[in-house]
Amino acid sequence: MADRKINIFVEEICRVEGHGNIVLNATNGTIEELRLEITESPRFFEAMMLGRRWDEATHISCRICGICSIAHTTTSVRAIEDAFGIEPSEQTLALRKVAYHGEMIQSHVLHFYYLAAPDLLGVPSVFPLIQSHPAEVKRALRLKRLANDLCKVVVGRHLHPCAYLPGTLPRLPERAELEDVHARCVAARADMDAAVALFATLTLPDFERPCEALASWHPDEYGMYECQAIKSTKGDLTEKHDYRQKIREFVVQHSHAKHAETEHGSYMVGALARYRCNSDQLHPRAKEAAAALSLDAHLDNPYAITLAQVVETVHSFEEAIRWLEWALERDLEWEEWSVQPKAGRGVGVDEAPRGLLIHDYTFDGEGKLTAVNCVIPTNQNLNNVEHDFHALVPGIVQRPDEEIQLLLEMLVRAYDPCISCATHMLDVTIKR
Amino acid sequence: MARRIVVLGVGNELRSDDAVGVLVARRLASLDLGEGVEVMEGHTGGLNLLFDIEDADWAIVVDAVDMGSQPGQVEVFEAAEADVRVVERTASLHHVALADVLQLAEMTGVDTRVTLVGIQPQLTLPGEGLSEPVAAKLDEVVELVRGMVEDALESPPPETADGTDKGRGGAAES
Repeated sequence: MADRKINIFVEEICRVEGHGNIVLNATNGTIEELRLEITESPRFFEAMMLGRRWDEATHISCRICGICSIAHTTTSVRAIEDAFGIEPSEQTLALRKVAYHGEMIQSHVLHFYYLAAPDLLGVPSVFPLIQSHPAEVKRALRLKRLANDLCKVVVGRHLHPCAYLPGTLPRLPERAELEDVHARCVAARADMDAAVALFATLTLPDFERPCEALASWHPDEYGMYECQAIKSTKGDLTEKHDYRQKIREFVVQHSHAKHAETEHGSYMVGALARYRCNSDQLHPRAKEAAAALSLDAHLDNPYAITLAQVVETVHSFEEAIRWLEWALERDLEWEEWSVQPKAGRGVGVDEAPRGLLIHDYTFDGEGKLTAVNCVIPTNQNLNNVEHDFHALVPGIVQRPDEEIQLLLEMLVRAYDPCISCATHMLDVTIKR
Repeated sequence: MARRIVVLGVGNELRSDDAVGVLVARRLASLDLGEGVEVMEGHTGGLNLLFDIEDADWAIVVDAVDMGSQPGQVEVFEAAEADVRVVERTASLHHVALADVLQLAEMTGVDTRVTLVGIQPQLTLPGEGLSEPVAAKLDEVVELVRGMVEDALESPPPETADGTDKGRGGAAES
């Protein structure tokens, strides 16, 4: 019998953010090469921030991502607040959460409806769905627009917030704006019920590989925002300033983005990782959604990340409603504001839509940055994706090339990678 | 009910002549175009550009468009009449093209009239600043769009078959 050679090279995986390739070479079922190459240019954000003042840090670092810029802003501001000893008021935290969950919703909706659903429905992009599922596409657009508006009402626009400062918000939303988005969020419950019903009918590829999962942890709520520690499915909790004791980032030859590991090897971050760490803290409606999607039966299946995003979107709508109602129950008060820089280190740990996000800043006495480290979700997942590849391929290597390729692409897409954000592999030390 | 007109300048300011739509919008924003007219910088807003135009009766979209003509050439055309197509495998929603947005708008039943003001670029490589032939047309495009808006505000709104102002009556959903 002739040798069967598989040579799959997916140049620029589609429906992900940024540029990455999949390489698989195998002969008679033996894998010779299998990797996820990250070819997006490195962008040197951390080096760019060195020497910049605290009030520039947030505006530079949020440009790391054009999708989750509010998460980057949030984490950056939390790092500054941690360094300078600033405690924002309950009002500020409540309003920030509205914008934060708005971004979580818009990012998740974009992924599960536009990027992942076509795979699960067997079409190449969202456009054929307009004919076959017109109500779903309109629903997706309606949810995305509402999520954008949740951000805009609080922080000025739906990305790259212009109204977000350490300690406060420089603009208070009008009551009418809050009432408008509140009413639309309540109405969106029906849309999310329909989204859950749709995804409950879809079949995930059959694959399991147990791995460690890390997520931010908060004692009183589902860990997303304002977290103090990192929780592992292995049972340990790491205080946020000590994250380097848990997470080690390293460079590999075939990727412009760093990889990461813990003492147990590769690990997962993102919606499914959060669900695995903290599902008991989800809103009851989100727990119902998880039950409808049988998510607990797929905890070791990375393709189920998409389902976890649907569940979290239900949760984030409930959180947005909760904090909008908090704000509508009182008269919002303008807060006097000042920032006194001081030398020292501050760390922000939150969840970006794609997973655990850390900003670690050290300032001098004038409030200028002397050290910056940003740990990005997609970087942390890359190592895990490759381990998934190696577990997946032996089980599917007898299938036609096209099927193998699609399953590998779908796996990468399931992690919802944001490759542009991840590419900052080079450590640059500037001596002044 | 007053018509709502949106002027949307799109493009990437870091890609030479691709900035022209944004620069036109910025100039128009400093002029008083009249009530019911909103000028927006769409930049590389991707899918979100749909939300900028879908509530308007008329959207004038200004963008660098490769029409295969002389750099600086200006063409005005109705999106409904143009052959706007997208490739099947959309590479990334981070970079959704205007063409995708217009197709999505059409296919999901958005009834905004969309007029494109296209300027043929010379160069769209990374870089700041317009090429000489495109820069030379900036004032002309600003005046062109201002004229289009003024003419529309002076003329009565187009009548639809049932005699109502186009589709804005009952739908309060924003």
